[in-house]
Amino acid sequence: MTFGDLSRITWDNLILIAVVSLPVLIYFIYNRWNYNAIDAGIDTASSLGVNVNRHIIVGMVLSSLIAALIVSLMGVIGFVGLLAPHMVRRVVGSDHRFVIPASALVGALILLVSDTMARTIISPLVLPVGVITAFMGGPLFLAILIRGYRK
Amino acid sequence: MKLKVRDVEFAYKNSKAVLEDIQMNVEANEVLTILGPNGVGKTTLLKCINGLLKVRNGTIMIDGEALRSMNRVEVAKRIGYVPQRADVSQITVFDSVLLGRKPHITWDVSKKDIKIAKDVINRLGLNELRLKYINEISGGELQKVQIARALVQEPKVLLLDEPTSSLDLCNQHHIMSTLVDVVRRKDLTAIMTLHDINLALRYSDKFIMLKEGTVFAAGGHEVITSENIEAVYDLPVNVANYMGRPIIIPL
Repeated sequence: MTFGDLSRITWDNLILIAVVSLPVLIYFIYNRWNYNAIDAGIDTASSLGVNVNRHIIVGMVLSSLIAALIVSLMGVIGFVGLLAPHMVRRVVGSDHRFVIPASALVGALILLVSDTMARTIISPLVLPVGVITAFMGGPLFLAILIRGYRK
Repeated sequence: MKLKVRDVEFAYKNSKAVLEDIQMNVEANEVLTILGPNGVGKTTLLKCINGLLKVRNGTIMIDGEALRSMNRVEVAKRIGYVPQRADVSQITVFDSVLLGRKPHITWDVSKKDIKIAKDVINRLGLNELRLKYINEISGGELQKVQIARALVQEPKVLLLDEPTSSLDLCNQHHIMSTLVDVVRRKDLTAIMTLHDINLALRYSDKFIMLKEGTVFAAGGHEVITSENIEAVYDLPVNVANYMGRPIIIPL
């Protein structure tokens, strides 16, 4: 497996990513009340007029799409998508009105900080940024796994 | 708002019918209670009425309009549903109640939505809890939140599945009288399931007794007789009269 690297990106790629991910982000933010309703239970959500199955499937397809696009252009930089929402939920609760935009911002911040660390920690050598994110995300992943077993 | 249930039959895929030949008529300004033992299909019937489950046969009409011809949001504007159980997440009581406005929201909640939520929260006595997370409140408080959410939805028909199961004596009567009061003031139709027949006798106008997946008896207070209850619940009871109200006493 090769680690992803931010320096691979070109301006053309960045434009492509923005064109795809911005509308998807707006779609997710637009649906924030639907996701809150789904959190309250499938029956409750359906009785509030939410098409639960459609939202789950469309949500999965769109998130797969942006993940696939970005990975294919930059390579694998793992765990950011796991870290950011978990950190955000700890602070703002599970209201999707705040979770979705905050996750996007915190995810971007994690990547920026990790990349800066990867470039400076043992400079002049440059570590792949995926090493740093895996270093932070691995323990969290295990913690979630263990908590899941306890339940 | 008038609700008519005609010849409704429901079955899960490839199995025998759970509900058969269900007839029901509820007018505006009426509270109807579905009685019957555990597992007889009371919850299933409520879910059929609001379209969560698709009936195999029969029709459900709301004010002359068939439920089948409406989409989900149209149904949600007319019918509010309080399930027996709800999932909780880390969201405040206020936001959870405000969620009831979902069918009326396009991009975001309006000032009017927030005012409606505030009014209902005050009326149900949830004001002190409004900033608490719903995964940190008690079962009874959560039940009140769910009822508040259904009221905020401003439906014409309210379906309540065991709305008092987690409530203490005082709250049972507070919630039931609040519900009846809302039904009378706004000309709603309420259909609920209750296990406490005495509570049902006090607050509802009509009854339907289910036995083996079909209607055993239907009508006003007169159907609550010791014979009917014994036939449906398989338990001998006395129906006493206390200050003009029938009271069920299991023998």
